Formats: sequence, C-alpha cells, structure tokens
Amino acid sequence: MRNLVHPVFGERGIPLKSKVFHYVIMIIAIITLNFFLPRMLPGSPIATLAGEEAGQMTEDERDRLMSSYNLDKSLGEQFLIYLKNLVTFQWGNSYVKKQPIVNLMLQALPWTLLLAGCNLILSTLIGTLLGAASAFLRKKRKDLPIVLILTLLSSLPVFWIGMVLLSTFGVKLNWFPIYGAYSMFQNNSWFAAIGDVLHHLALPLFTLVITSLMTFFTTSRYSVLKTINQDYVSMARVRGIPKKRVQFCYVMRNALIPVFTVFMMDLGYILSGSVVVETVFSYPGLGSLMFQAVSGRDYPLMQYSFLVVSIMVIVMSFLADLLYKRLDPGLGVKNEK
Amino acid sequence: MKRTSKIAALFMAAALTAAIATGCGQQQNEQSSANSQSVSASTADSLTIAIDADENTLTPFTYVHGSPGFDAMSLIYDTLFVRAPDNTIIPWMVKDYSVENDSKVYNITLEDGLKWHDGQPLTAEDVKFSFEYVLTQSRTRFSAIGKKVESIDVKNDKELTITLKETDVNFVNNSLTDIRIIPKHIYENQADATTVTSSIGSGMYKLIEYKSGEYYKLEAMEDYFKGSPKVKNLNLPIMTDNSSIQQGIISGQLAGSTEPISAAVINTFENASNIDILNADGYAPTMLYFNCEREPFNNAQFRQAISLGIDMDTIIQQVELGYAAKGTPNFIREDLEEAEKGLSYEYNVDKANQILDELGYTQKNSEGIRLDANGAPLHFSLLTYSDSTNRVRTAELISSQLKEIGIDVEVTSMEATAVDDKVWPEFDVSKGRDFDMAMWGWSAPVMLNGGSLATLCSSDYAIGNNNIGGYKNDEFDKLVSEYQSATTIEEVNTASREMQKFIANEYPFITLYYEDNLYACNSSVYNGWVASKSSSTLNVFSFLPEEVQK
Repeated sequence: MRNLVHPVFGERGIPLKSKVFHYVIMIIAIITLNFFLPRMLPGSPIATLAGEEAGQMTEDERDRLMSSYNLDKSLGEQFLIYLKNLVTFQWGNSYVKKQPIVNLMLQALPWTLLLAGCNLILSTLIGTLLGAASAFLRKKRKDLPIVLILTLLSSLPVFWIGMVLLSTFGVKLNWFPIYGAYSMFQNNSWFAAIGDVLHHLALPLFTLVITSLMTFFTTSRYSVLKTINQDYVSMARVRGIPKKRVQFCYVMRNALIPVFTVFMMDLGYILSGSVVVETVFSYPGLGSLMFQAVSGRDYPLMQYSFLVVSIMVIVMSFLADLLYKRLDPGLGVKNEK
Repeated sequence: MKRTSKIAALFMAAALTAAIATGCGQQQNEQSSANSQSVSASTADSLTIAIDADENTLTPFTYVHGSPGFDAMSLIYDTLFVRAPDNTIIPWMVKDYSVENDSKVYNITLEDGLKWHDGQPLTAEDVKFSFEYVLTQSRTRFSAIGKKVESIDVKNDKELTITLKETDVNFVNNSLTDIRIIPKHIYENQADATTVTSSIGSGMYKLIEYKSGEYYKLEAMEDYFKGSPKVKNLNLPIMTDNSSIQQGIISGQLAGSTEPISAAVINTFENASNIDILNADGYAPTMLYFNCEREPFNNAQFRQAISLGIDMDTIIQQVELGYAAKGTPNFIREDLEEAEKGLSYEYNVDKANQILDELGYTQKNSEGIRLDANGAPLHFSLLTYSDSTNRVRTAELISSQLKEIGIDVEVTSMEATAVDDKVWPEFDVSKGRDFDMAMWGWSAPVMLNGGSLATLCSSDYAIGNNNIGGYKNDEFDKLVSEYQSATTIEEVNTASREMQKFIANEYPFITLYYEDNLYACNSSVYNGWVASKSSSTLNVFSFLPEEVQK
C-alpha cells in the first residue's frame, strides 16, 4: 500500500507547505479560468443579456445595460470587480431567474446534500462490502455473479436506469412519486413530512447508488486482493488467528485506504449533485440548478456553480491528503528520514 | 462472507421497505390531492400540470420563455383583447370600443368589475400607466408597443382614448392582445420592473406561491369578472425532463403539461386509458433560410431550384410522422384569414435541373456535383441547432435530396448560441450575417401578427427587423410602403396579399412545415381542456366557465 499514487500530486510525502502552495495555485487558476471562459463563448453579451429584444434596443439602452453589468469597463477592471465580488459573496443575480445566485444555491444545497450524501454513504458501504466479499470469494470462483451483475449495471446509462426505476416503481407499481423532493401541494405533520421526504428520495437515491457502486466495488476488490497476499496476512493465518479476524482486522483495515481516497474525491463532487438524476426526477438540487443554468445560457449562475464545485473538489482532495497520514502513518516516511 | 452479503442485502431491503412504508400512504394522498379531487370531469378542485421550465415570478417583466412562461403569466395578467382558441380577436377587458381617424385613435370603455388580486379596483389610469411604464424599461417586448402611442387621455375610471403617432390598422390584433395591464400602485415607484416580485395581476388566477426550481401554486379568483374559473387550484410542478413528464401523465400523477409531446411518442399515450391527445394547429414554422447577400443565393432562380428539389411530404412523414402541415411559399398558413390562398410548393427534380442548367451550372464533377463558372463544386453549409433533433434530421434529408440535383450540402450542427451568432448576430439584422443556408424557425406570434412578411423581408431594417437572410428587393419594399400606409382593414389585407404573392415567387426562404402542437391531457380528472391555436392548453379558455365560453 506504500505505492499509492495521489490523483493530483502523485506520490505521497510532499511537504505540507508545498502541498498548500500547489492547492492555492490550483484555486487561483480555477478562479481565473472561471472569469475568462464565459467571455470566450460565442455570442455577444448584449444578446445574452437582452435576448431577441437586443435588436430593438437603442444605443443608449444598450450602453445602460452593458454598464449595469460592468461590461463597459476594461477586462482588467472587470476582473478586479469579479475578485472583489467573489470574496464578499456579492455574486449578483442570475440572468434568467433574476434572483441572487447565493440564495438560489443555498435553496438547492440541502436537497443535494441529502441525495448525494446518502448516495455516497450507501454506495461506499455497499460497494466496499461487495468488493471485499467478491475478493474473498475469488479463490472459490464464487465471485463471478457479483462481478458480472455490477459490471452490467455500471455499464448502463444513469438516465436509462432512472427511467426504468421511474416507470416500474413510479408508474406501473405506483409505489413512489416520480417528481420533486417532497409533496409540494399538501401540508404534512412534521413526522409525516420526514417520511414524505424519504419517500421522494427513494427512486433518485437508488438510481444513484446503482450507478455509483462500481467505483467502490472495484477499488475495494483490488485493494483486498492486493492486501490478502501480504506477508503479515499470511503470518496471521499461520499464527492461527481466526479467519474472520484476519479478514476484518488485517486485510480490510489496510485495504480501506484506497476506498477512503475515492470517498474523499467523491465527497468533493457532492455539491455538483447529479445533473441527470436530479433532472429525471425533477429533484430541486444543485445539479438541477446547473442544468437549468446551462440550458438557459445563464452564464453567471453557471460560472459560480462550477466554481463552487471545483473549489470543493480541491478542498476535499487537500483534506484527504492531510488525513492520509493519520490513517496510514507509514506514508511520508521517506521524506521524514 | 455469506454473512456480509446478508447484511448488505438486509440493509437494502430495510431501506426500501422503510421508504415504501412511510411513503406509500402519502403517495395515494399526493395523487388524490394532485388530480383526483375533481367534483366531476367538467370542473375540478385542483389540477397538477407540469410546467416545463422555471419562469421566475411570472410577471410581465420576469417570465423567461414565450412558452410556458408567457402562457402561464397570461393566466395572472389580463390584456385588453385576446386571441380566441380559433385565433379570432375578441375584446376581453374591453366592454366597448371604437376606432377613428384612419386607425390612429382608439376609444375604449373597460368592463365592469375589474379589480386587482389585492382587491384594489382596476381603472383606466392603470391602463394608461401600463403603456407609459413599459417605455421606462429597457428589456421588455412591450416597449415597442408603448413607442407607438402619442398620448392617452383618461376620461374617467372606465373610459380612455389612445392616440397613436402613426396609423396602425393592426394595433388591436398585434398590440392590444399583447401588452399586459399592470397595477400602477405596485409599479409606479419601481425603476426596474424585474425587481418587482409580487405577481399582482387582474387575471383569472392569482399566484399564491412560487418556489424557485420547484413549483407554482395558482388559486382561482372566485369573483373574476368573466365568472368563477372551473378549476379552483392549479399546481404547476417545474419538470424539465420530457420523458418524466410523459410518465407522470400516464401514471395519473400529472393531469397535463405545458410541453407539447413529440409525434414519436404519441403511441405511448394512445395505448394509455383516460389520456386525450389534443392537436392544436401549429403556427411556428420550420424553415430553410438563405443568405440572400451571398452568391448564388442572391439569385431568385437559384433559390427556386432548391425549392423544387426539396420533397416536403417525405420530410413531414419521416421527421414529423405526418403530424405537420406542409408549408406554403407565402409563409402565412393557409387557414389564416390574412393568407393568400392557393399558393403551394412544387417538388419537381426535372424542373430544378433545368433551371440550374439554364443558370450555367451544367458541368459536374465525378461525384455528380455541379460546378460553377470557376470550376468549383456547388458546396454549401447548412447550419442547424444541435439540440433540435427534428431540425437536424430535416437538414440531413434536405442535404440528401439536394444531392439529386447536383448540390452538395454539408449539415453543420452547432450550439444554439453559435448558430444565432452567425445567422442573427446580436439579434440585430443590420449587424450582417455569416452563413450559406440555415435551418430556422419563428414562434407563432410572428405569423399570427398581421404584416409579418414586412418584418421578414423588408430591406429597411427598421421595418424588416426579422430579415435575417438580408433579402433586398425594391419592388417588394414598395409593396411594404403601401402596406404601411393602408388605413383600412380591407386595404391592409389587399396589400398583405400582394406581398405574399410577390414573395411566393422570390423564395427568400423556404417554409418547410408547420409542426402540430400535440398535448396529452388526462381527461378522467378534467375534460375542459381547450387546444388553442396560439398557446398551450394552459390558457384562459381551458378554465373559463361554460356559460361564458358559449
């Protein structure tokens, strides 16, 4: 397990100061790109801002509109205003929704955290357990059905899985609602409201879990298979330690570190929600919001949504980096020597 | 490991059971609250209708799209006149009116019992304010209407006179059916109308709750001046995925949707019980545009040859499965009163080849593509939105059909903004254009508004603000002038028909087809749906009391 390679910085053992420096550079690069990318898109800003009415506007009206979005200033001035607004959370209004971007994101955030959070926990638990089980069963060749089923499921498009679950459990069997995060048009008691939210959560959550299992399954399986042949595991068996104890305390404990890497990386993406699943089930999370921003060419909303997700991925990656050492004190030994 | 597997299986089973146990009871409740509280099929306590986009607070200044935003907003904000389902113009808030002085002066008397959703009376002062206020706003479709008005004289609470700067015979049809009457007491101190979030209108429904990205709740105005609406509550969940909406209608969780269904899925609904398909004629044409400033498209004969080489019937069958009406060369759909009848496109490959030969494109390369005078093959690009499946398929069929007459067309599908930027930069036709051919479409109001050919083909861009192909013809411009100076409806119709006959022989664009608007509605919970020719089923006539409809 010492040969673990970090997805961003390669081998472990880079001094903390350098790591922090690298992460800061990445964040600065993202913030800068986030400013320039929308400005490189085709189409003039006036067309984006005013739509077809742009053709009917007088020069004065156009100037006023450009000025209200600071688009009459130089690129440098615009960048400075952007930086100032960014740190003071003055992110402005969505072009299309005409509401403050911060409010829109805060409204959608709880639903995404619920859906993506539950998915992350469930898919990590189930995927890891199934991965380990298939690794332990490998010698007896009994792992094939699990591998085949999960490979098949992971190869199916998430949209298709969502529609199959929706038409089967939502339409044919009528067990679950097919849209929304709760019953929008009825008043429930507090307790009933919790049940109602879980009821609405079921189909999008199962869709996500089915599609997310494979990553944890393969990571866990590969890691357990690698650990299972380590000398200290063989020694434990020779010493007559019970099989279950060897599997859980000697193999699983060490094999979990790569799973943790995947978990932390996915945790970074948690704020992006799942665009497809949230759209299919009309779930009002950040994924849905981003889809609306992209399809409505709502550049400011798009810009800040992507920025938040990107920074979250970097922050979580950094946290994962820091926590590694605690999970596996052996890491970084080379440098400390 | 058996134990581990069992734990995992148990966990999944427990989660599923818990969700079903806590939710199934509510599932029944939700459905009943959504659609089934109907007293009878002709009236309903509440209906749940999917709205296919988030349209903000549904004010005249904050809605986003023509459909569904403008349609939904029209339930909340009234107009002086409306388009009836059969497309005729009828007075709405107007009890009586007269037109004087060559269609420059409009005397209007308002209906009795008009009031705002907050209980305040709606007066002639509000009407005057509505026309004046739109002039202070830079981004609204209503500004152009306000600019036509010279003065508004309010005689009393119910009577007013609107005087226009210039004669406009279509003022009632085009402008008074469009401009929303807004409450002066809400907007008068608001410099930016988009910041007003309260949706206080005078329409038959009042917006009682809007949750961004989630839903709208509308409640009927029981004392509405046209009578109490047949459905008391309209619940509009925001759903952007078409497949989910269709499943929702089939399952009964939705009574209908603002989004028309595609002809490709019509069989799914025909097999479902209690689902009615309403077919409203479409007035949004799918078109092939030429860049008339660029050779050889600046030659009307070349454009005619292309028209003769396109088999529209095949395109309609293959792309729209027959759910579309064939276009006509005068642009305006034949069933409209304004249309010149009897004009049609001809599919005639031999004639197309003959015209191309006469134009000197007689030489061909080894692939059968005609060569121009410089020996270069007739190779053109055809731009289309990449996200419009039907337009891409239509473009591909056109490409293969034109190969038969020796013209090589390369279909280039691009993101919509990129296409707009080449065809209609900054949505201002005076900024030029950079394309050979483009798949295009106009929304229904462009055709339904009188005099649309003037806006589509006049080379004076102040009039021809939709002339994206850059078509220019002095004779046609003269006809436009005659149209503009007409002072009676008869003169206007005559001038309009002259323009249509002229354009039918000029081919500045090809109007391929008018796609049908198909709406799936659950008739078991409500059977009052009205398919309007100018909007979705979410229109005032779907909920108007029977006695008023008669």
